[in-house]
Amino acid sequence: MELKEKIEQLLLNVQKPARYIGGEVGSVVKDKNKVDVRFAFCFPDTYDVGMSHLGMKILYGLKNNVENYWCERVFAPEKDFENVMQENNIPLYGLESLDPIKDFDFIGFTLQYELSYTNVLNMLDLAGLPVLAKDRTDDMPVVVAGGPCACNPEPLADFIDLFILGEGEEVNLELMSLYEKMKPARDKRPEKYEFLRQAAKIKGIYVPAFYDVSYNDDGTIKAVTPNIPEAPEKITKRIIKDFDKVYYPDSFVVPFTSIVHDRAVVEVLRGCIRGCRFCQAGFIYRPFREKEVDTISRQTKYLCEQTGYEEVSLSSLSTSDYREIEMLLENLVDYTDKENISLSLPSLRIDNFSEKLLEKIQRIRKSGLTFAPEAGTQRLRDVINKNVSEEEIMETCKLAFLGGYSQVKLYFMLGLPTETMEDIEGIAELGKKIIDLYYSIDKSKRNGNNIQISISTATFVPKPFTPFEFEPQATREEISAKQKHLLESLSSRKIKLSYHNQDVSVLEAVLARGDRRVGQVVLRAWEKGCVLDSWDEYFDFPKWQEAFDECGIDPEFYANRFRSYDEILPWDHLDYLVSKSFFVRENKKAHEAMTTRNCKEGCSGCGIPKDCGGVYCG
Amino acid sequence: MADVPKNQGLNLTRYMYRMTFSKKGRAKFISHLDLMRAMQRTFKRAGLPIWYTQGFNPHPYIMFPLALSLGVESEIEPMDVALLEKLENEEIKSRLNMVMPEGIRIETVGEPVCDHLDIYRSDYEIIIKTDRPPEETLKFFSEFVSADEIIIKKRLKPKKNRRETHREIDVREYVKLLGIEASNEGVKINIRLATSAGNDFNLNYTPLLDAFSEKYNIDINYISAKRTKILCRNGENFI
Repeated sequence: MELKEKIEQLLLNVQKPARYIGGEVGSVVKDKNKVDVRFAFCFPDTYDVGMSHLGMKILYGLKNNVENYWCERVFAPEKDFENVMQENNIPLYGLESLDPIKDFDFIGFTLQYELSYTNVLNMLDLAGLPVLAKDRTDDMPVVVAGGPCACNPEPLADFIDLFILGEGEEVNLELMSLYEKMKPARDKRPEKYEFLRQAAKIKGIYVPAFYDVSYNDDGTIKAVTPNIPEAPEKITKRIIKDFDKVYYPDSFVVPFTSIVHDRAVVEVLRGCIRGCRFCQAGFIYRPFREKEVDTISRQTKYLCEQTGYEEVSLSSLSTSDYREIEMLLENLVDYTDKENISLSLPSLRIDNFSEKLLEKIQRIRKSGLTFAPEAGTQRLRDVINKNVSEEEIMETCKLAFLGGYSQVKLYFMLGLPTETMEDIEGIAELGKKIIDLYYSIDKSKRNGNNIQISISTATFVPKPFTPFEFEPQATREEISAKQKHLLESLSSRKIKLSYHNQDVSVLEAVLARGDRRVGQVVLRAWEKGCVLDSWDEYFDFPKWQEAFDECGIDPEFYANRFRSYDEILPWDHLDYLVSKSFFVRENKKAHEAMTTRNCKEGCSGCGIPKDCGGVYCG
Repeated sequence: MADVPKNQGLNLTRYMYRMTFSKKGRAKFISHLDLMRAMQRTFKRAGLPIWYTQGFNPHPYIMFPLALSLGVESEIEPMDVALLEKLENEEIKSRLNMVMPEGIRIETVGEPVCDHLDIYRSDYEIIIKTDRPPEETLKFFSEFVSADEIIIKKRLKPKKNRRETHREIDVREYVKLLGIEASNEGVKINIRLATSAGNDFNLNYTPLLDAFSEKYNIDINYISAKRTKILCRNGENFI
């Protein structure tokens, strides 16, 4: 039986089969006999999650735009279908051709969060490939990975042939073009070592096998040294300098089943001016670049027409920082109103949330209001450089209540550097003040008589390429004590509190700042059956604990240790253009509770070169 | 603050269309709920102005009188749509088919003639492969559906905190074998089953095949099914 027919029969017995068969509007099917380079774009999580990812949509369109390249989508199967695949010898396949991905030229993973690492291994295994890079031979695909977690790729260094650092729109095509040139014939692959050696010369490409890591007696890194002449000492991330002109897809794959973010998405800006000290995205996507109003309007219209979506969302790290936000919304709302399309604006910040802006959003839709003060007191907000004051929060809440909102969601982090119990109490107090504010507004002017506040607390995970990359994560005991204290400080039943699973945060902390030795733990955990770790129902920390024990690796060394400023960090040979000396400076200021101005107010010398297209870079 | 529905008083004039579409190949895995969303987006892509319901939460007026089970193909699924404009049937059909998902095609467009409650029977073409030779399967299946009684297990909605239960019923009057042939590809069965868009008895082929499999102790290891016709009480095609 042909693979397709076999899959179709088996799909009758799995949940949401439309996820495994392709055929969606917007999916690109080519004649494989006319294609030179085939790329399997793997999102290491399920279809529902992966199909919501904007980066995949961009790179999928970009690659398929080249006539003789074919990029297909691949997702991790849910457990029910994975079992069916294994019982019936169905190898992991691409959703467009339904061909096994082990026959492709490239297998590429996007690394969006640390807890997807075991899925990477599992998908390689389901494809019928050895998970270790050194065990894969010349007749197997080149396995590549990119995305935000590639900024510290060391825990995956043993499994991936090469990492792509930074923005992918140019470098992906350069890589595929090199491969195409090196192919001896259409149905033959180039020799892998030679390909990697040439690829290492491309800016932004990191081939981990070309670097040796040595360690000091105390377990810290002594040196990371290239072992071939082609490998540069420092690998620099890629940046799109002319962001307004960068490729953007005019069509998305429109799924049949409902996915997490089922809508058209238009990117308005990249990078962030803010420099919140805990936020990795705020630094690794620098500099701040914008698209023109016309470009965004055109792309919105195009996408809506091509996909038929009834909802479009503007994507960025902070949409209200877009300089022409009011003009943009005016343009867009005219179009979306006329077409019965709803416009959503995630990522709005409190401090520049004007009355006018609120009015515009109101025309759009009235859902809950979400703020992320991150910390309960002004002192701690200064430490993390979250430049939001209590007055601003109150002012915005007041506007919102007058505008008819009666639900507020507040996000906080626990375990931030220098945090005390006073800061914890501050969270509860802030919640209480918001409730009082609501009831101080005249009944006729607010909506209803019942306010709901949800406070959600996450455990702080220190990340590479942030001023807190040196910081220890708070221990389990500290976090439990703080959670308990917060619970006791809450006096109102109008406030609902939720917090994250502690084990998850610990594992994230280890994987985020792990070195190559942590790779053994990932391998062992996967061998023990850990997969889909970001799903509560599958996450099995005791197995991870066993894996740490068996590999002789102490999670506390990675999670809870303070690193000195001169320690060589596992990602120090990667250059994300924001300098380490800036991070050191920012770290020192954090401990003095001193804030740093944002890029718009003036340059703080983070190290991003002037010629990268940054709006505020000189 | 008073909320005003977005399109209050906008459009009360609407033109009703009844379309039929085929759903084949990979499209058979689109569930009923997902199909609604897929069709809404198809109309948007086609630039066909759908009439929106005039409430606080306006939604496009598209309606499927019958549900098709996941995994089953069809040649004639009915769909009712209200448009804001009167357009040529052929134009509607071609504009939709240009932007339709793979496997779905609009087959006919016209004005609604029958009432949904007139729907009475559906014809299916079912291919099964079993652990027995095709001729033997054919013989037993013909026997099974020609008997004076055809007993199947009908699943009953489980009561709160109870286990799922089944009731045995005789579906003789709801089943009519139209043709059956055996080949190396398996056994092809053409069969007419009771179908209803209302509260009348509705018979799916799955419990029928299950009952057959159990009665004759035959393992069915492959099923593909396609709805080929929808008939009204008066014996005419549903249009």
